[in-house]
Parts: sequence; structure tokens; C-alpha cells
Amino acid sequence: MKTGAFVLLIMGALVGFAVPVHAAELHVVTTTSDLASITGAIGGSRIEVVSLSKGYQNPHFVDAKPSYLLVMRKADLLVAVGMELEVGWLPALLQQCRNPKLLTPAHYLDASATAKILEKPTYQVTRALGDVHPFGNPHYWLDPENGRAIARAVEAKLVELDPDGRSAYEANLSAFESRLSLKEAEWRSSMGPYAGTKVITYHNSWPNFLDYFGLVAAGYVEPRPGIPPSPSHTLDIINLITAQQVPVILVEPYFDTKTPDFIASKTGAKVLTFYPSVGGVPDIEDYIDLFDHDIKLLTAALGGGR
Amino acid sequence: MRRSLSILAFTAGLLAFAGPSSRVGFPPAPAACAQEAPPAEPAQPPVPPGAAPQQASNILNPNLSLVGNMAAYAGNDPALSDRAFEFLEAEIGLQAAIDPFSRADVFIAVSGEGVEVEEATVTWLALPASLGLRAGKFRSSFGKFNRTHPPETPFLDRPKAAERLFGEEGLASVGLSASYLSPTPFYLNIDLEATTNWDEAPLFGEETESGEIEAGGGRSDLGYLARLSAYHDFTEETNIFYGLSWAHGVHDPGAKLASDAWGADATVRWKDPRRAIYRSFTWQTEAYYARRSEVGDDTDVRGGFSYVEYQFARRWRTGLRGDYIEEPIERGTLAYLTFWPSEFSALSVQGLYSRGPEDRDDLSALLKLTFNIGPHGAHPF
Repeated sequence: MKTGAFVLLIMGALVGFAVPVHAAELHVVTTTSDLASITGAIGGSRIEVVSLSKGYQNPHFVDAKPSYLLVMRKADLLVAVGMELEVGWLPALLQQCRNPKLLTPAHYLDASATAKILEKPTYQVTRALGDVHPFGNPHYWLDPENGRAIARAVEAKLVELDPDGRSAYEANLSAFESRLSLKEAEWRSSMGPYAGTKVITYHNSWPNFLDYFGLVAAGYVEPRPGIPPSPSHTLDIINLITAQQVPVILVEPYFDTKTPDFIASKTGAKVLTFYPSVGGVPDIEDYIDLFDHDIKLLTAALGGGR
Repeated sequence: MRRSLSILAFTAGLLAFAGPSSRVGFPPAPAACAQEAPPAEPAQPPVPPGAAPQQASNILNPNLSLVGNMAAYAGNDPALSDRAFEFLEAEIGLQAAIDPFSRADVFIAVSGEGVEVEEATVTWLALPASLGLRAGKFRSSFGKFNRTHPPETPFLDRPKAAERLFGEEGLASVGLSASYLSPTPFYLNIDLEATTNWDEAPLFGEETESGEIEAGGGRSDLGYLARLSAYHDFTEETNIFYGLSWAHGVHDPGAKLASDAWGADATVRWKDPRRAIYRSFTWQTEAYYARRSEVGDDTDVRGGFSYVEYQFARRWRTGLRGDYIEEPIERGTLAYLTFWPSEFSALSVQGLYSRGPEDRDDLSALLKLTFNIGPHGAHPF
């Protein structure tokens, strides 16, 4: 008995010795870089956070690479966008990662739970409509207020999993929120003059962004979500842009700009590569940068006149 | 009490109406989230007072999906169907968590030949020490290709080596499968399986005079399988998945005659994540060596296949496959062009050239149509 305790003590000491001083309290995996940015801002040095997908990837189409399993295997928490954004790849990873913890609500945070979700279908959803998400539009993180909701949900979850870090997490959250509030005022004043402006977007990724800044989606380059452009629909969009004087076409970086460029050449609308996620280009380092970048791009395009 | 029950039922009904849970086999976590969704509006339930409590919710029904696989044949290859059109199968999938500890995945194939359970497994998820455990009927982990359900392979036919050794459906049987994900810094997985000797696999059975395969093996004759597989990312775009497999069974239990198969497989993929939906490349090769013990002398067979597939536009893929198998020697080449209107259906035009044992040349034109309805399944990797 005594020997057992001694061995345990030695082992404990060894383990303690093996762990570096700066070891993170929690290993967090997020499905997207935006969630990683927000989670990292709240967790600070107490957590280690890894995003499975990169900011320049189409989050609907991420390959379930076996190397992701190794990251997920040691995770204490998985933060996902939810709303079926990751339905093509996350379930397969969850089933194979040998980390049964992540299958329990305590270690799985669906970030959409407290966010403002738009376009919840009030009709019978069928695939005839394309890739319509039956629970609503999953690109909700593009509303900065939803960024705040996500940050609060993450903070609550981190406190739940690591109560010792409560004060650190609370302080980080309040720092994040005040930085966000400051920035929101700045963004609103830059975007204010353009309220009511109509835009065309490639995929229906931007309802929350447009809603927040009072912009209007006049149409989409895709005839149906997830269905590539067709000649007749492209013609409709050209006519629509001409009739309604739509100044810009916003294209997510992972889509081909061939059709948008063609539409632009026929109408004079400007094509903007619009980034929906952190890390889409290297200078979008965090969630705040994401809006900075996009708003700078958009105001420059709109302010420059047609 | 009854009122709150009916409110619950109504809320659940609303949730169910909001659409089928598209998560094929999504784990319990999101389901729990769904339960937590606040019943925002104090809606007046349209249930007459005194109604008997209804079934609580459709949301607990298993995910139901169906994959259809249809074929058309032209040409003179006697190895293929002699009909012009054939509906190969409708594969019905039923998937759900059983309880917090396990999930069930059942695939039933309905075809002209009848109804067959393709796969039906219970998988225990909450196991310690990086272990995975499955029981039921499943496709054996021999190589990578064998695990893929026929409608989901790029080909209408099966590679000649796979078909001649493992049968028209591939290796599948009933038993137990354990897997272990090693703690190495790269992905390294070990699968061990013990099943009833493989029915319908020519390597593990005796061909009767009518051409049917009679399964070898009785209660004490099991099929054993081991597989070691690994994965590496070379770059963000390029990766390799490779493995070694071994299967051991009997083909004549009376005479205690065993069959063994060894396999090596490698799959190289390229896909730029920035252009993931437009361009991709896959190269898969599987090589087999099989030995069938016979009274007197053993039969050794080598065979394999290799294919490349290139996605050159969002909805278009083209591929080329080469086949080789011995005893007797047979070679084949398959070329195909596949159009994917969406990720839920595909129409493939395929040309197959076979050179059989009697130096006979066969040329066939094939058409494969597959479609998938039901919740969104996982993209295959």
C-alpha cells in the first residue's frame, strides 16, 4: 500500500515534471478559423486552440482528413458553427476520433445556439431548392453582434470546463466586447452612407452581414445555393444589375470569378473578393480584422462611384 | 400535466417539421442542443383536450436515406449483365444513435435478386484507450476500395482482381471488428476482425457446378483479418493513405484447406483547399496476392488495379483504371467521364476493354446513374 502510494507520488512528480510550465489548461478544436479567433481571444494563454478548416476554404466542403482525427483526439472542447454547415465532414470525424468526450454536450459547443439566425425556412425544405439549410442560414458569424454572442457562449463554456480560469476568461471577454463595441461604432459610421445599397453575392453567405449594415441582396450568382451558375440565370442577373443599378458583386474567395467577371463586363458592376473568414488572406489575423478588411474593400468600391 | 405534455409534443412536432435532421449519424451532442431549443412562442397546441399522448417526436426516428444505382450495358462482354438496362440496387440506409454508448448503421440493398442486408453494425463509441469496436455485418477492412459501397465507387463494374477474388459484392461478413488508433504523431490505425468465413467470395469458397459460390467453413471456421493503415499530409494539398491487409479463411472446411490474401494499397490525393470544389486528383492502387491451399499443390494468384481520377470542373470528373489478375490471366481497362449535376446525383459514361483468358477481346459501353435522397451524408474521403 505504502509502496503503491510512493510509486504514484513518483509518477505524479514525473508527469508534473514532463508538463511544461506554459501548458494550456484546455485543448480546444474549432471547425472554422472565425470560431478559433473568438475562442482564442476569450481563452488567452489558458487554452490552446486549433481550427480544422482554413479561412480560404469553403466551409461546406472540407475533406475529413485523418490527420484531423489526431487533433480532435486530445481535445477537451469542440466548437462548431452548427446549422449543418459542417454536415459533410464533421460527423465522420466525430465518429472516428476516439474521443467520446466530444460526443457529450459538456464538451461540444454549437456556437449557433445563442446567435441570431436568419432565413429559417418556414416552408417545406427540399433539395429542389439546392443546398438550403433546414435550420437557417449557417453564415451567421458575419454579424458582429453574433460574434459577441459566440464570445459569450465560449466564455460560459470555458468557465464550465476550467472554473479556475473564470477571472481570466471574464476579463478577456470584457476586453473583447469593448474592442468589438468600439469597432462596431467605427464600422457603422463607415457603412452608414451606403445603407440600402443593393449587392449581388455569389453564394448566399452574407445575409447576416448585409442585414447588420442595412444592405440588400438583390440576387445571387448561383441560381440556387450550391448549384453552379447557369447561362439563363446569369442573363437574369445581368438584367437585374442593369435595371436596379447594383454597384458590386461580392465573391467568396473559394469561388471561380469567371461568371462574376463576365457579369461585370456586361454591366459595369465591380467584382470584389469578399472574405467570409479569418485567415482568408494573411492580413486578416482575427475576427475584428475580418470586418476591417471587408468594410475597407466595400467602402472603397462604393465610394469610388460606378 | 397533460397540457404540458401536449405542448412538448407540439414543440417537438414543430422541430420535426423544420426538416429532417440532415446529420447522418450525428452524435448525441447536437440532439441535446435541439432539445434545449426554447419553446419560444407559447403556442396553443391543436390537440383536442383528452387526446391520448402521441408519439413524442419524429426527431428520434433514424436518419433515412436511399441510394439508387442503375446501369445500362452495350457490347459483347459475357462477364457483364446480358440485359440492356438494370436497376442494380436501391440501398436503404437507417442510421441513429442507439443510446449514449453506441450507434447503429444499417444498409439494406433491395435489388432484382431480393433483399439483402449489406451492412448492419452496432458501433461502440465511448470506449477508452483509442479503441473502436463494431459488431454486426460489415464490409471487411481489406484495402480501401473494399469498404466502399458499390454505388459510391466511381466504376459501374468492380476491378477484375477484386471481383475474381472477393466476389461481386466484395468481402463482407458477420462478426466483430476492433480498431486501435495509435498515439503516434501521424495517423496509424490497426483493424482486427473475426467474422464468419466470407460467403460469396470465390477465394474463400468452392464454386459449384452451377457457378454459385458455396461458402466454406462451419461454426469453428472463422475468417480473420488484420489491417494496418497510415496517413500523411505531404502538403496542404497532397496526402497519402496507405495500408497493408491480410485475410485468412477456409475454402474447404472438410479437408481443412485454407485461403489467404495479402494486400497493399495506397491512395494519393491532391486538392487545393482554395479551389476545393473545382479541381481534385486521386490515384489509388491496390495489389493483391492470394494463396489457396489445395490437396497436392497450392494455387498462387497475383492481381490488382490502379486508377486515376481527375476533376477538371465543378461538376465533371474523368478517370482511367487498369486491371490485372492471374489464374487465368485477365486484363482490363476502364475509362469514364462522370457528370455530377449536384453532389447528390451522378451520371457516368464508361468504356470497358477486357482481354480474357482465351485472348478474347471484349469492348463494352456502360452507363451508371446513381442518386441519393435523404439527409446529407458525409463526403467520402
